[in-house]
Amino acid sequence: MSLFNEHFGGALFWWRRIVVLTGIGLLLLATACKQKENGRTAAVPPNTATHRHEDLRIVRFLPQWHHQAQFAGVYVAKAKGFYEDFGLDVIIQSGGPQAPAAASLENGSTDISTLFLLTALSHRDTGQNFVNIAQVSQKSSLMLVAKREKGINSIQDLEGRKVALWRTDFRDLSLIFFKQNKLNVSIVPVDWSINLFLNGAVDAMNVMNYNEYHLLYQAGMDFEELFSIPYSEVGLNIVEDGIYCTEEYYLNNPRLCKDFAEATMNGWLYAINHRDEALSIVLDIMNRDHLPANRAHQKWMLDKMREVILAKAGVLGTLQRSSYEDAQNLMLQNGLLKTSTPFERFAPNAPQD
Amino acid sequence: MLRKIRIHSLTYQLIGFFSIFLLAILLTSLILTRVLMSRVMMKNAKNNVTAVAQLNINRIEGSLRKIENQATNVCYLEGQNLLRPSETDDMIEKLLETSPDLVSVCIARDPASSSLPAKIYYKSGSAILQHNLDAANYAYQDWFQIPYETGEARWTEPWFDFEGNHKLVSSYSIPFSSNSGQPGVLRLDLALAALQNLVMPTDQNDLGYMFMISGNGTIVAHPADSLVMNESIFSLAESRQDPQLRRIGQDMIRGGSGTIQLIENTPQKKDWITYAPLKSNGWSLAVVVPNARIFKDLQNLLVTQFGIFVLAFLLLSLVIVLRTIHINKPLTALTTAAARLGEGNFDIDLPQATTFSELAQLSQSFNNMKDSLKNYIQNLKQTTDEKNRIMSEVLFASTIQRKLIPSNPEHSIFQDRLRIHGILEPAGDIGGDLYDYFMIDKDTFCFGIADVVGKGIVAAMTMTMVSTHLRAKGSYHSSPDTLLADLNKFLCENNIEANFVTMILGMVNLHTGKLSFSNAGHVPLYIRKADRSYTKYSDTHSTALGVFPDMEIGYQTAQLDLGDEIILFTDGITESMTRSESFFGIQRLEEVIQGLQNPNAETTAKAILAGARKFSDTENQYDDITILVIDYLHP
Repeated sequence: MSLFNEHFGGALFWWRRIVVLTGIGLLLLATACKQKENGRTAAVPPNTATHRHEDLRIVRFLPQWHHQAQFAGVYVAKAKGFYEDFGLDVIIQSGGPQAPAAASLENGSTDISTLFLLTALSHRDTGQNFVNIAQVSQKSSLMLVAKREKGINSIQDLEGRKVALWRTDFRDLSLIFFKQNKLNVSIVPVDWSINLFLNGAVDAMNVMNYNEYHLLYQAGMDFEELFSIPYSEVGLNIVEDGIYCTEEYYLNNPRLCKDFAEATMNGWLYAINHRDEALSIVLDIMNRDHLPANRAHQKWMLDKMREVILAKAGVLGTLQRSSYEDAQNLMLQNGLLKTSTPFERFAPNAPQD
Repeated sequence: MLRKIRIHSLTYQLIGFFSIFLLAILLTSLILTRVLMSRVMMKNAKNNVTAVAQLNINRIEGSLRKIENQATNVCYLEGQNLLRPSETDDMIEKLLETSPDLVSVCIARDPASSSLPAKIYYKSGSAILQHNLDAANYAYQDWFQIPYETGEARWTEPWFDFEGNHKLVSSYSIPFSSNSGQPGVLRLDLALAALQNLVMPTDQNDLGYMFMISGNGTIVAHPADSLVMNESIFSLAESRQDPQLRRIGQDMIRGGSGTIQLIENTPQKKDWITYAPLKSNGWSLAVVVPNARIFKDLQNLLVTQFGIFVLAFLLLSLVIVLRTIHINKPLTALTTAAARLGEGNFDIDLPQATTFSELAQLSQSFNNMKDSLKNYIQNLKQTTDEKNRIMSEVLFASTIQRKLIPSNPEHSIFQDRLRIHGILEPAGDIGGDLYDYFMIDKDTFCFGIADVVGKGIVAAMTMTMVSTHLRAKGSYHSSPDTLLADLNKFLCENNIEANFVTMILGMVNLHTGKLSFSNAGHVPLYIRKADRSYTKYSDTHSTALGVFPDMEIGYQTAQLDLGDEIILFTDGITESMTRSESFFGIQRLEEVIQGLQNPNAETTAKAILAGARKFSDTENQYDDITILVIDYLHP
């Protein structure tokens, strides 16, 4: 499926987006106020004192991609009033290629965003210090898929093939994978479309287990037709989605960052325990933003997010030192990172055991 | 009139019979039509729907081909580097002006090998604008990357062109390698709305609906707007957990075509789907037709057929009702006449001429019957009158006959010397029994009891003759045997019917008490003494009278004492019958006599009658009953 309106731009679009965002903001606020009265099960905020609206601390959040169930915890936390309980007034901005997360954090057009761990680490070399304030994903969702009809039934069959890799994230991880398996492949950089792969112009491509993998299914490909390599199973289990802000923002607002992380993870807990309600909240936001949306796909995505959130026993929402070390070491070894950063500095909120 | 139709009426029976018959024909006809026609209908419907789908496909293909041809022409000119930049601008502007469906054109070279800017020309109102694209991004977009990587001209999935005129478009991209060594892609954009309009012509609504999916299954045209660009045929199949729909989708995007009945989760809604590919861009068009629509004509046919049958039935019923009423008219008249005839009115006129021969015959027969009945009743009346006259005469004779028998004297005392009581109860109006007593001279008392064998007038007449003869000749005889012989002779000479008579005739000298009697074939007589003993005299002195004219008749004598009682009776007493046909008999009679108290003629006679009556326990009396009791009181 082509995300035909990914690349919004121009005056008309911005005008419309402001209207939509204002609308969403007001509505979510109303929903949040209403929800507050209803009582909740998932959230037990530390300071349950009611906050007058003018007392709320305003914080802007930018998802790293278009609204979808990948960020369900945030929408649910907002809709169910969890942020407000923590004294936060969260403005959810619209993500997508036109608003790259890392750049937006850096230029100050947002306060908090989600980033993949490798992306956050890779910016360290350029002096952009992002701080991990929560870790949503505890397991890699990244996969490499190939069409079996092209005769690819093993990793070795990838030799000499055309492989589509996203031109931004994860490119490096796939390159490490090819290097480890001594594969010579021809890389075709792509944006986000799966059509090049569907059209047969490339033999293999990167997919996220919770998104593109299922989009291929929704484009008529059966899973059996695909040869799939989940990176979590080939020694490249690098965790992904985390919640980040700049180091400067964190040092100025440590309490806010902690509250935001906790409220968001409460949102996630609620979302994975109330799937249908969470899906309705997500689809509502997608429809308001005129994004192509179908419930079946969002359901798949939420289910897969649940798996990665609960992948490590006893761990919820915090970055594990071992996960961090694995990622940093992998990057250092492969020359993708020159300097190492102490775990305490990178993830001051995480348990420092 | 219809209200008069009863369940057993002729009309009702006829209509009932014909409606069952018609119903059977109707059902057979409907089933046959359904079975035979449904296959034909199905085939026709398939052909129709396929034709409709193909028609739409051809229209869309026409539109697509037009764009493809234009693209090929521009590509040739651009690829051969035949045009100066200003000439290219003019050509593309002209192209956009003359092609209503074409919304924008883009010429882009690979940014890696060319410094020439990628330029987009697009319509904005009536003006045609152009600007350069951001070189950092376009090389990774489907419209550029796919044809460039494959080296083949391609139609893209629908996408939102935010750099042109902000519309959903499907682009035809054709790669070129120019002579100057700056390969690139030429892109012509067709507004998706134009394709959607081609898919959904409003005049096809009654056939069902159409939808179109792109090469990866995305629904690009569908009557339900919420599905368009949001759902793919596969996401729908996933939501509905409908593997059949997924298989259909896979066949569609692989260029297959076919007609399949959808199973779906709702059993009542068995839609049919016909799909065929758009060969130009690898999309697929499907027509969904409700099952009911395919068989709509058949349904109409069956309804019409049913209507015709109902009409035929109603008409037939009407005809039957009217015809039956017409036939019924003379029948009703005949029935009325018959009813009046039954009441005894034989003078009525029966309806005559009718158009139906059977009814005419019936009427004629009825008329004959009426005449016969009339005659018969007249005869019957005459006969009855005659009978009544005879009966009155018989009653008169009976009265006379009773007068012939002496009535019982007051206190039963006769001549101060005898106490007599007689009872005669004839079985019919007139009887054949007789008793009589009278004085022959001043000392001699004569008595007799007789039973004429036979019944009716003849017996009565004979009895009258006997009575009259005794009275007339009694004084000439001093002995019962001679008187009986005289009577016998008379009877033999005058008895036409040869009836014979049994009789006891006795004479008593009232001074001496000497009794002499003669029994001619009669039942015994009893003499009861004052001491309550009795003697039975059963000897007969001749056979019955009236048979042999010269027979000898004897007699017997007995001496009566004061208080002796002579008891005489006819066989009506001894032969009194019960219902089980057993007789009263001599023995029972003697038991009654034994039980009697002091001699009293009246008491004795009534006791014997009561005994016989009690025994016979029946209302019917079969024979005349006669009892005569004589008490000898004074010498």
